[in-house]
Amino acid sequence: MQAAITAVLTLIEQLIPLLGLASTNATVKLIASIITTLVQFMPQIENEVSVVYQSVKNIIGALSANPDATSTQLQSLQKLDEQVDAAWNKVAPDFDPDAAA
Amino acid sequence: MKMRAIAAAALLALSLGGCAGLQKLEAVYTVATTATVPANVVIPAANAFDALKATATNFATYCIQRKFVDAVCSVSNRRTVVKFVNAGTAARVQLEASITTGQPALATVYNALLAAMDGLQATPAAQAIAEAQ
Repeated sequence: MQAAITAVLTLIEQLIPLLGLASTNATVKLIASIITTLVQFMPQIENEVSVVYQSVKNIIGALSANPDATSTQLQSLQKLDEQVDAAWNKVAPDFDPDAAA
Repeated sequence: MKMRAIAAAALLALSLGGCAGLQKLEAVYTVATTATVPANVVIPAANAFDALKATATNFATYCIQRKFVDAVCSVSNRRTVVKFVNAGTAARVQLEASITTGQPALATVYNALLAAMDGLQATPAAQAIAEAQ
């Protein structure tokens, strides 16, 4: 399971630099290729790490041929932010070696 | 075993898709050379950061449950993870605030988000959990 998530995150990191490039055919094809692979991964991670699943789902939604309006994408992102931030804030005090006692 | 096969297939698919240029791009993750970055670039990047932050949380949980006995849970590694999580979160918050208020998202802040993501990817968090399974 973790190997699949690691592969997904690697794909995401490879995708990010492409987003700001000019929309050449090569770039569009490469993004589409990465998105297709991410979609294939979705069933493997859906029941395992829901946050990663939602993150990938949001990315696919944002980059698909008919993306949702920015406001909808932002709402999905903010909902994910709340979940992710709450989970981190719960463990941070014990994990951070410099946290106040 | 099935997951590793799928992961390998995915990476192979990428390489077959013309990876020579991609490898060059991998080394240059700070994209923004303009002063501002559009929302359709910021939003996927922020989502990607959230995924990485989730893996950092998993790593933290692992270390806490193991009472930090593993070398990978060293003080140094934990400080590194905390640093990039905090930096990335601050950048993400600032970028989203820009989009929400209709202000331009600054490229400097976007690049800071990418730097945090790259920093988290370089930590042993994900690999440590994979090896512990």
